[in-house]
Amino acid sequence: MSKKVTAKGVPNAEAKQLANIYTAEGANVTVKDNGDGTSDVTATWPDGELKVVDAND
Amino acid sequence: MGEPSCRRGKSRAARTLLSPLVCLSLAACSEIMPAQPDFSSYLVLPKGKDANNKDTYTDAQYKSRVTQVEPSTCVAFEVSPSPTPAARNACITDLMTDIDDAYDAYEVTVSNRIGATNTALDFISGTGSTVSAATSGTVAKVLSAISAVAISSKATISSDLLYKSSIQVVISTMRADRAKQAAAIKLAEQGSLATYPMGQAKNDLLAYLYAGTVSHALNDATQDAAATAQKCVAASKSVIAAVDSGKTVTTAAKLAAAPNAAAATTTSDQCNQLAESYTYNFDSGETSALLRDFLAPGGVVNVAAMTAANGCVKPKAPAGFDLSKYTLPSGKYDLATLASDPAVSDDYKVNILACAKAAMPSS
Repeated sequence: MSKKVTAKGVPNAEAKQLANIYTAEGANVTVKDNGDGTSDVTATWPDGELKVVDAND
Repeated sequence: MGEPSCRRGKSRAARTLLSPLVCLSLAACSEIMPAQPDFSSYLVLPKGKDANNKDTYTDAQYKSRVTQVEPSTCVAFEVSPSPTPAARNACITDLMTDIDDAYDAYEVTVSNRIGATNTALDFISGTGSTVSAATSGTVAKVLSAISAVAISSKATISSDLLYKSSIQVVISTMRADRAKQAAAIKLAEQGSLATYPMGQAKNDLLAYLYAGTVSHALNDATQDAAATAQKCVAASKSVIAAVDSGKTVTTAAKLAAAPNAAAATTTSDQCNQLAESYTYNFDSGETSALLRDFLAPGGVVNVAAMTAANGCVKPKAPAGFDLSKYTLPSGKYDLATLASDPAVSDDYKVNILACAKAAMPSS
């Protein structure tokens, strides 16, 4: 099962640092500038090793 | 086959509850979304008997409610002194044809209305402070509540499953349910008048009519998705536990993780369409900043620090702290969120930091 985490209201100065940590954790990261000096950072992980296998696997 | 009257009542209740809500969710709903195909359900409503074994309403009352012409085959069946199964089946076929005609027009209407309004079925369910905030509309809230009850606290019916393919889900479900109901009616038609009386047939035709409604499809789709989510969540938790303890995760273990044997039919693809979601407001506090700076000084990730911190998350967790929210699909911990989520106490963050610093290889 995939996973998605969103950090809202991240000061722009810290958004890159947070995004880099998420990236190091294996996430696909998107940063959305809110235009008020903050951004929303969203990290998404694919299902990775947690696949539930088909019955005939 | 048969359609218990209580089920008919439930279908009607669901339609009453959800149909107006579906329309409310249509932001640009300038016209009312029809609740069901344009078919007079009184044509298939058994008259019923009251406590004194009298018809619950007179023929005149009955006919006044029927806004559609009753098929001649049905009239012939009703007045026939010696009705036959063949006559009954002819009436059923005509009623089904009328329902089919009404359904065809209804499906086009549903497709057009929903397709034109991208918020129509935006009913992603969320948990905690999370995804439900991203959706608006009464249907979103109702279905979010339904699925939140049905599935675990963190699982969510993902946008992939219910948003992107909402139209297909609704229409496919309606078609499938109608086909299922039609097949059951056709099978029952082989019975005699005693085993499959017209009253029973009308009950089934009513179910056939309701099977082709949006509210019915929403009910089914939500229940199916919730059931699948439940299986996937259970399987995921088991695998996380196995990864955590260093055990090899086997196919059997994954399947055994699911709550029941039916999980064997839950596929990777189904689970992959489900996403766990979590949203939090960034913590700019000093303790949080210290932990982030340790993990990525100057914005550049220190892999050794990440590894050391990962090893401290579980040992330093406060009693009763639920780590599953901060566990990644790989089984490792989500340090970025642990450091930045205000729901994680400063004490815990300080302890992780101190533990990780102590565990760092000396340079």
